[in-house]
Amino acid sequence: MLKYTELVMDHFKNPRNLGKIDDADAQATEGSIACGDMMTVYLKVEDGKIADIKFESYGCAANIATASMMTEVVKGLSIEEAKKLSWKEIVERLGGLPQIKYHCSNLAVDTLKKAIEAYEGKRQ
Amino acid sequence: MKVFLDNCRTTRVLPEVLQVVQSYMAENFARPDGLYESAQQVYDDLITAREFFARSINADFSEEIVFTSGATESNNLAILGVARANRKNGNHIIISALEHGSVMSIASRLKEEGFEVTVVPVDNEGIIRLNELEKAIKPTTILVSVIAIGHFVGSIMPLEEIGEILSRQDHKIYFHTDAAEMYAKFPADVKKLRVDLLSVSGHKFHGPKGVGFLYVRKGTRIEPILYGADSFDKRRPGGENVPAIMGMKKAAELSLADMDQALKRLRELQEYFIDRVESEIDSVILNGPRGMKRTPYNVNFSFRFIEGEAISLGLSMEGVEVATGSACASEKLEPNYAILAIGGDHERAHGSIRFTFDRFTTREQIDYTVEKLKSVVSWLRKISPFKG
Repeated sequence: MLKYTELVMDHFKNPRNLGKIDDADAQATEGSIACGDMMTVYLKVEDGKIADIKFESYGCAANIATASMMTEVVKGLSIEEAKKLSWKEIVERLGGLPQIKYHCSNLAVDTLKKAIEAYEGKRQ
Repeated sequence: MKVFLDNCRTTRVLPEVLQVVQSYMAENFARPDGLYESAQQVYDDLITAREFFARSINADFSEEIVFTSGATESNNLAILGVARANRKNGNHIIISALEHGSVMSIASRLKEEGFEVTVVPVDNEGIIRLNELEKAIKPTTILVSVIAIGHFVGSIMPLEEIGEILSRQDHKIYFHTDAAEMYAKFPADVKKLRVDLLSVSGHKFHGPKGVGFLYVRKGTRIEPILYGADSFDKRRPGGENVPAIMGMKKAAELSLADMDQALKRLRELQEYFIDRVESEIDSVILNGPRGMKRTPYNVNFSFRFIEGEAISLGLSMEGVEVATGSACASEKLEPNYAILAIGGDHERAHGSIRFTFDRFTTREQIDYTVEKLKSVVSWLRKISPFKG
């Protein structure tokens, strides 16, 4: 059994910013069912800032917890600041993750970046 | 409420067993090879234990029982020992696709030593394909090893039919079965099954961990895998784990005495559990066979659209402890091979949860499990973007 930090378990049990945004400005889905993890991120942007963010997750506890932490970190940040977020920062904020779960934090950050790309694509 | 439903991984040691183990640790602690009274007593007890285990599988001679550290060691001794000792007669061995990880690893090792290994597929219920097995047999085949009961999907293998096929061949092919999930839960008769070697693990039936035995039919050509000084049994040198062996004997006595009743009761409980899950939770797939082809100690479901590690952690927070076949819960991030072997895809493996009973599992525990399962599954489905 993998050992998760208390904070990871807390985000798994009580994910922040969970769900859908019906009138989202942009959204993105990354990952695959075959790999066992998939995530959708919804963005609401106001004045260049992430006014609201929500996520849905198909995946393990680490997947859910990293997505939850990611949304907590970037909510309120400017798009430019959010783009700089790294997967390592998510892992650190969670007090660490088992090494084989690092790809989950990667997926959380990748899905965010894809959603931002989709937002920027729409504006052009 | 705490509900442990991972009894296929291990079981709790019963108080009666613990008492026996303790007495052989603290009081009758001598080794059987000493030339004094307390050693003689332990020697006699070991002989009695060996006779008991031989009788319990209908073996003719107590010397056919070799005590080991568990099923992994028994499997190693059986397969490596027979393959290496019979190499001049051929270098081909056959195993099934649902073997325990230890047998898979041993087969890989034998390949490195120049042996040829055929893995016979199973059908979509997890039962070995007998026609494929028969086709795989060659003049160089020296050993067939087939698990008695698939530990992930609970399929009961047709060992008698395999024994019959092997006995029809015009050269000797040794037959080994890993009976870790069978012994002390089902009748295991080495004559009826026509097996030459049979592996058992004590902690699967409320005995201590780190002990088991291997049945080796008299006349079997087998090499040891461990070398040591003179001991109780030269096929397996090293100090005998007397407390654990005597504890395993106690556990087997208790389990065998209750075997028929437990099978009957658990079959009803299993059916009740399967019915409730199938009627109260949408989009579930029962992995493995139904009815008499399945051990009543095992239920395995895949819950579609969600992932097994999250399900098992969610259940664990409610006190229900289970196993999953999800890649996310494996050290190598690989989906469970048993689900793939029965024709399932990755999603089905990732969403699979194995519930394994012991003979004390109650209906109340199953009711509690179903309630918690319903809430965990519906919560995870709610947050999943994948709806099929």
